[in-house]
Amino acid sequence: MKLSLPAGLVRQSLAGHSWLGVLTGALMYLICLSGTIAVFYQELERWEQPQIAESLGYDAATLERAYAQVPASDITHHMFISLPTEEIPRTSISTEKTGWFVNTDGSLGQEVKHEWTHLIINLHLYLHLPETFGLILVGVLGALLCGLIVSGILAHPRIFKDAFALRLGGSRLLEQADIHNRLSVWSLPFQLMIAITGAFFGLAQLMVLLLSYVYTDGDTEALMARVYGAEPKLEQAAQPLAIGKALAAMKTIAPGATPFYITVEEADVPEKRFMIVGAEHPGRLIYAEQYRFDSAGNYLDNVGFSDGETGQQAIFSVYRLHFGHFASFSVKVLYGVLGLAMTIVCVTGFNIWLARRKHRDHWNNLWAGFVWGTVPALALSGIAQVIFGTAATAVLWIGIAAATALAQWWNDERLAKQRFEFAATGSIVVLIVAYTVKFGAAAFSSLALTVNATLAAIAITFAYAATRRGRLISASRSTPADLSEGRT
Amino acid sequence: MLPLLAGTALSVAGVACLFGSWNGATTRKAWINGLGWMLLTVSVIAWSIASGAEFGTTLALGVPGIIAWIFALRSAELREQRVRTRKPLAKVEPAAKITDARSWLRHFWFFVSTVPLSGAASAVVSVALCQSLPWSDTNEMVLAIFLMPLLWGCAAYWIVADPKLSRPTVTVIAAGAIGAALLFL
Repeated sequence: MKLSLPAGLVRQSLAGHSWLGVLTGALMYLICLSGTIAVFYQELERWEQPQIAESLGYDAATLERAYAQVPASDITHHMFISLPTEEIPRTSISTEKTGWFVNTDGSLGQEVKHEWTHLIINLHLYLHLPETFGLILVGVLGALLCGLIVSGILAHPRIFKDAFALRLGGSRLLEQADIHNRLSVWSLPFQLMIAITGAFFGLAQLMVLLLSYVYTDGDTEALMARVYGAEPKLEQAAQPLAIGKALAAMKTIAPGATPFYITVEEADVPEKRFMIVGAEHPGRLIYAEQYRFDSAGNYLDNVGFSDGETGQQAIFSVYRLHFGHFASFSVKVLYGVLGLAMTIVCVTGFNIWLARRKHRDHWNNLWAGFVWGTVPALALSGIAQVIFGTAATAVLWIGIAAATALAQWWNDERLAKQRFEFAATGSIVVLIVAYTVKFGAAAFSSLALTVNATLAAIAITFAYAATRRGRLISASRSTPADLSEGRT
Repeated sequence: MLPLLAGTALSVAGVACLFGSWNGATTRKAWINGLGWMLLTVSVIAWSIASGAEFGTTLALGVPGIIAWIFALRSAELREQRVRTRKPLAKVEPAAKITDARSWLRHFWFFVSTVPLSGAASAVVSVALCQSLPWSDTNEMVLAIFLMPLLWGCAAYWIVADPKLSRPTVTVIAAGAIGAALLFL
């Protein structure tokens, strides 16, 4: 089967695809790589603090005692209580600035510290730029990804005929094109979904400005209330939060739903304070239905994400759909594989552009350094943050900058790739060993072991790739130049 | 468990049929091709019975990709590794195009047209389109938010792919102006 597309359209689509790809390639690579890791952020958060006791059970009276122990000076406008789930079987209370795990006796335990996981999530969400600007930039990249998908389809007249063609080991251009096309064609629905939902996170705040002019005379608060529910107007006597009463009521209000968080709104204004109990509904993509209670634990209403208008349900399904947090852990693995494929599509796309130019310059070196240097830089940031507790954002970016500079200095992208693959292996091994030394017995919990085993597998893969690449480099050095042909 | 197995089996069978049809492994290509698409469509039902309509549809769209990659890897053609010795490795070529002012200007105009211009136009067009639907305000607004990046991507593609840059640029500006007029006048 062959799509009948005019040759001119195909040629122009290819040119447009290349232009958009080169414009967005580097940032898209960082977003896809960090997004792939961020799919597993719940596991990484647990891995960062393996010594925290875990349990799926909790006692509402214990939660009330723990909440009462938060110093009044630490109470912020919003307060958050995370209830234990299969994914994170830990109970914690957080302000807008900090958080603590809750001990079984109702006392506040260790501080919640997931800084490295947040570093990766923030890289995905806003590339460590100033938050609002970064979010919008990432949203724009989501929209341009839609353009890349459309141009990619129209640039590929043999999309069906070649759907399973994978020619490895021959010319570099053909190999890279085959990998790029096979991975992107078969993950097309996933990529389109990621592009639209990703753009939503960044562009919704801009769209709200426009929509508010059209629908609510410029009142953004009124617009948000229509979609996310208006805040209840309460006048009540100041009293301790009746968390237990609210949770008990949930069993009759929504018997099939599982509460997994409580947000205390207006927490610093006792007369207006109210609770939102977020509950997961089985089989639904909505992040949660929100059930609202006053301070005394009296039920007020639900927002309608589970049974309200279709638009409300759709907008609150974006998170789980984007990050693959639904059904079971196997869905996360599926998202991890598809996310890795997107990352490879970014890299091979840029590689194709480089190979088509038929000459090499500093872009070849910088791209190799950037792509392959990011992995050891991420591992080094993990060592800095998780092992030494140092703020690691600078470590990551200095690492990436150093890798690109080194690659330019070496002026041989094959050598750069090989060295950064070895560097990735070494830094990941150091991370695992240092982690085991630091956390001792806790490093052998099933979750920590699983994460470390995964890291070890990644390190072994990089070591194998580096060794194999080393053999190719040696072979090329012993091959007369006039008998050889382009490949790295 | 049975619907889950059925969903998986239908996805595998559907991809296998497409593989057979597109890879030339069978002489009855059209028939096998149709069967493949039909099995993949039916798999949505099996996945939905197994995991609910929302999870099931998502999985039915994602899983066939992984299966297809396995088929592609299984039939991958491993060619002899050809090795290049790069004679000019020591010498990096100067980037000639960087000094080309016309080229830079064109790229700059591409950027302006594909990013701020297309973004603004797609925002007003998507809101104007959705506002004309006979739906509730909330549903119109949410659809506009989801439609906007898709329109933006299509506009960006057209601008960089059309050999006459003025054609898509003028159209995008006109569409944005009409959308804005519908919304604000």
